[in-house]
Amino acid sequence: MQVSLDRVGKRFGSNAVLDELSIEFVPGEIVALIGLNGAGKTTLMRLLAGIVAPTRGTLRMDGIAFSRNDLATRRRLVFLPDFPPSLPGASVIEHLALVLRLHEREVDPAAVVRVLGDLDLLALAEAPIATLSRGQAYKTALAALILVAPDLWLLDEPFASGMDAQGLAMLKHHARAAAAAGASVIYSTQILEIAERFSHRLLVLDRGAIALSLSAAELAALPRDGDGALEARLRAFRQDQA
Amino acid sequence: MSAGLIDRAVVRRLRTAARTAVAADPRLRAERRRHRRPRTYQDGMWTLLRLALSALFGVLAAKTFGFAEALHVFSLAALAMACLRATQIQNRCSDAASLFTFVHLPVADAAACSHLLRPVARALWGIVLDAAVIAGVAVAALSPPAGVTAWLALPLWALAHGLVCAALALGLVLALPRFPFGVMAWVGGLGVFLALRGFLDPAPGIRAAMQPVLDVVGWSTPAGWLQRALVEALAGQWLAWLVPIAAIGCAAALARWALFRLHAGFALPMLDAIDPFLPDEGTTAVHEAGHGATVARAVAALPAPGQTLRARGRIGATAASLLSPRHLVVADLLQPAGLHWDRAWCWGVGLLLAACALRALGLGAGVVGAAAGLGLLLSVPLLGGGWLGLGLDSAAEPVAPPAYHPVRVGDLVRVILTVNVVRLLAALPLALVAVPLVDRAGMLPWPTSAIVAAKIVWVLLAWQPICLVMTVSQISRRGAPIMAGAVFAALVISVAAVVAIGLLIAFFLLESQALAALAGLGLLAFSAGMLAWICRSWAVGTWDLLKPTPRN
Repeated sequence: MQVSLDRVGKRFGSNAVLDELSIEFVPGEIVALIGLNGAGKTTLMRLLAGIVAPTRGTLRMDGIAFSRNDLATRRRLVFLPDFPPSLPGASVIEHLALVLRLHEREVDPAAVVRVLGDLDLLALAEAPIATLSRGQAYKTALAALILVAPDLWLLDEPFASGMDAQGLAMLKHHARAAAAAGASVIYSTQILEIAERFSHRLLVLDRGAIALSLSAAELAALPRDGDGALEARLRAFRQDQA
Repeated sequence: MSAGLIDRAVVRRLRTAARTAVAADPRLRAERRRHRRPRTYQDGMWTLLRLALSALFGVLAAKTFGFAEALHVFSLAALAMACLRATQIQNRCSDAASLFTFVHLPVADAAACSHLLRPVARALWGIVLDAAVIAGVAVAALSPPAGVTAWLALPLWALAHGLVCAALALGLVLALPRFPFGVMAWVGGLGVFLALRGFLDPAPGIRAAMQPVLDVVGWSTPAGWLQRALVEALAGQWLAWLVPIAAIGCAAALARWALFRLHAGFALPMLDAIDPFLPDEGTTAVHEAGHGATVARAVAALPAPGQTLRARGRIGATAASLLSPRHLVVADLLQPAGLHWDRAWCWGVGLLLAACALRALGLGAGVVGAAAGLGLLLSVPLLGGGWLGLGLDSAAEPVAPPAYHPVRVGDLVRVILTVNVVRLLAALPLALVAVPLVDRAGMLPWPTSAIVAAKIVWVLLAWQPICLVMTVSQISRRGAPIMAGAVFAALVISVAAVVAIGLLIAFFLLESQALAALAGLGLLAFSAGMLAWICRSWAVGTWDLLKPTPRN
């Protein structure tokens, strides 16, 4: 899905969280968002998911202006916040049934069993999500995302979600496959090693604006140590802020 | 959970597929067994209890008052239930957890509204069932026995009654935003109380006092018209049969219109409106300042330890003056909440004055006693701000805040006991006034009623450690060692409870004041023993400091 933001801003009261942001996300791309705490990463994700409205500017999906009421477009994207919500009392299977129905996807029991098995959730399929650990609850939301197979993946801190190694491996495997099939994957993280290795493009947000954009080739060319390393560049943003 | 947007057929297909896959793999079977939790049947038990109460209502209606007269009381109860259901619907429509989930999903507003209202619709059918049970039992208990006509009228009447209640509830929901928060629930609760009073206390004075209310309800509300029509229909007035039929039509139309308005007016909020963790202007100031001096000023401006206690008024300030600096910090950790203690005490005084005025007017002893009892309860640490007025609990976390910090259970107990003892001493004068007012016959001489008042305060004091036991055990999960001896523990607690009740009876009823004092001391010793036991369990780590996890 082609996603473009044109001078998009978001304010909460007098607090400008996003400021005149203009970016383009192209299909088949995995984009990592990094930045200091409070830089506006989560707000950008929520804006792309349509659950907060921009204060100014235009957000377009495949060239068409996007808003929360545009359900047809929203069915083509899935947003996983850092704590994915579920209805009170819902079991893993009920949650999958709900999400698949709302995204108007055909239900294939064999595919559901396969995905649950891959994520080690099969034995917990009938358990209420409220009784699961944080990692298992995140895996449930991830299973729903994999089954929906959206055109736009929005993941807020998926690598700090409490998932085990198998869950993280499945996430990377399916995200790469989805990107290869033409989906856009946008995720935020604070783990630079992952951002460097698992993205086609890396965007650094600083105080609500894009401060740095690096392609995969540029990322590969970055030195591991010294002033030119990614970690040192981020530290410079912090010093600027102070 | 409710079905609504969840396709049950799809869930069944998925469940079957998952079970087949699990059954084929011994490792998965073992894993499923490991995660299995005992099934609970709370919903079914509540339904049975509600139906049993309805049946009891029906029997009382027929035996105590006669069918026709009891229906007037029942119409009052119906009106009250409509108010309570309206509050329930309103709460469902603003259920934060569901709204937060729906905000993240591509769901139309109308579909989300339908999903939220689905359990309410089921509950409204419950009203029809309750009405059928009440009327069925009442007709069965009639003397002389009811004819075939009465039995035939039952389903029609129950359906009409249920639909009228549903339509009223839905209509009230549309009007609710114009009322202050919680008004409808209070009105409903008061109506249920009055109806129960009418059923359970057939004294002529009470009935006479209630009659104007019942007349107004009977003549002015659809539920009242329905009851009157039923009585006349059973008496042979065939035209009266048209009333329930018309009521079904009108109520169905009104309910449909109200549902349409609810759906049309429902809109899922944007995340900004429901997420309390979004940045706001307040956080911006600190964020943008970013300078050490500003932050240092902000830290210096933090309130001193114990400020939360002092903010509860003079009672809180007195308690704060009795605590060490360290325990003042613990008091802040406990986050005093609920009713303002001084204001609760003033409310207690006001209610007691009202009770005195009611008594001077010569009103029924029950009404005077209720006002006096409520006045006393408001001022003691039972109802004012939760059971303790201090919170060990946390809204969202499975672990209570004190468990995260280096705080001993003894610290928590000391703070809570200090505060509650001060609150009880403040309530003592009110108890001295309340006891003679509650004493219906007015026969107790002043010294005796003063002793009774002091005994009540003493019992409340002795009750505090038990309150602590209940609160502490509420936020803890019993681990394996205690479960292994669960039968023994249950036996000990049962015996202890019998001993405590015996001591309580002896404390109030023994003629010899010396023996009564001994029983009172025994009561305190028993309560303190229970507290010592739970403190030791906490201290040695017998119990996990976690709330029990939800069960499926």
